[in-house]
Amino acid sequence: MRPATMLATAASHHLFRPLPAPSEVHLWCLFPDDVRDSKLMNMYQNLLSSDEQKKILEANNVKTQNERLLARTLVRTTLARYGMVDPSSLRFTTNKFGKPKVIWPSQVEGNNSWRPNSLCFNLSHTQSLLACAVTIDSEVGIDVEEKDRKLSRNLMALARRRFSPEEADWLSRFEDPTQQQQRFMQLWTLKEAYVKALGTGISETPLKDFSFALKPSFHAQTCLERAVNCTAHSQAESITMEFSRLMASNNKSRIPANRWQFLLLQPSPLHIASVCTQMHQPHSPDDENLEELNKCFRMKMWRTLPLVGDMNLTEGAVALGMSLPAQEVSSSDTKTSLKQY
Amino acid sequence: MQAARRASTPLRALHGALLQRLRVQPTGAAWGVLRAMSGEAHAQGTYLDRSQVVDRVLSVLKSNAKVDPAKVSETASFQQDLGLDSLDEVEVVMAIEEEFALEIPDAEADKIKSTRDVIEYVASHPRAK
Repeated sequence: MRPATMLATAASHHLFRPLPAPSEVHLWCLFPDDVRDSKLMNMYQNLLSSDEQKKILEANNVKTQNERLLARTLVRTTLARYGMVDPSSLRFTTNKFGKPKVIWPSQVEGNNSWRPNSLCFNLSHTQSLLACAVTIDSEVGIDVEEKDRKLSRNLMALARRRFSPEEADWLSRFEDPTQQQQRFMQLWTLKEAYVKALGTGISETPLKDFSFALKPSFHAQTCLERAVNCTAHSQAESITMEFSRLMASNNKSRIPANRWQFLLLQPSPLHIASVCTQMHQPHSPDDENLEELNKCFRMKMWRTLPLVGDMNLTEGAVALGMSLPAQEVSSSDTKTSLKQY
Repeated sequence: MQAARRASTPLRALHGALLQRLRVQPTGAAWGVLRAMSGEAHAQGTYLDRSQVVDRVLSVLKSNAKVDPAKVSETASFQQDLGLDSLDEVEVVMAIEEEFALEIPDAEADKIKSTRDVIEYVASHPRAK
């Protein structure tokens, strides 16, 4: 092993983690501002494969290069915790749509003693925050954005063009431009998180063909307090997703909308993030079990500085909404709530 | 102008069909006359002159607030060269749709990752204006 790798492994030994439980999402957040030391960036570079290093250099500006370096570092160091392996030993492939998957060292060497191949992950990043979500036995998607991101085009025109009609109508009712812009970003991250969780690209799943409804719900607040290790917003909302009639009628093997668990949160005062994960298959398909499963949903969040240390991400993080058990929000309720806006 | 005389009434339909199949791109002035005269060709679909497409596409990109105009070129990749992310790309596609009076379906929009992709898409679209 190269000296830098040995140092990295020794330093990160205490950072190994137990696997996420079923119905649990682990969220690892890296704030680039926390990386003050250029030596650290060099150590990160040494973790990467030569292909990854080449890809970084393909970007023609330093900001993108640094972002890519941190992105690969976050993925490698995060996954390595669960496998108790050297971050640089991981290899990656993609599914036929380009969604990244990890190949564990034991799989490569033919060692059958432990194969964490049911670990799923997804990465998202903006200039000021990178986040990696990890689950076991369940597809996961995440999208993070800067909450107050300015759009260069008219927001409503974008929504009318790309979002569902219901979502565009809902957005149009917000009179305060800041609120409308933040709601746009919430919808955008929710939609992206779903598409990324599916991992089949946007051609299979046009943004217009599925629709999110957010509705204030006291029940959402209590569920969030149970589910996440940060503050739940006092006006937390339930999140419901529905397919358009077109999407519902084609591709019968598509996982139903209500079997996806969504979580909307602000990992910091400046950011908005959505996480999407599958609900586990119940042993029987009745609603009672669905509620039980939903009660088990948990998300743990950390603020991490790879190779250095982690802390629970509680300060400054606020959970805004989540999916609730099917019987809590029926479709007729959703229609009523939209009328109230 | 010989071209204008050739596209006389009895031959209009044939001319339009030929234009579509051969993707003939005559020069500006003649093209203007042909378009005016061959109504059927216009209804069936005509292709924009490529150099005009290039100019207009570059102009749309440069006027995007997130983009550094100095980095815009015919080959610029949205992610690598212009540092755009997926939401920026959606905005770019929308700006292109407005510029050329097109609707680009999500599946096609998802493949547009560079200036060249935009130019190719618009230049080969029969209804771009």
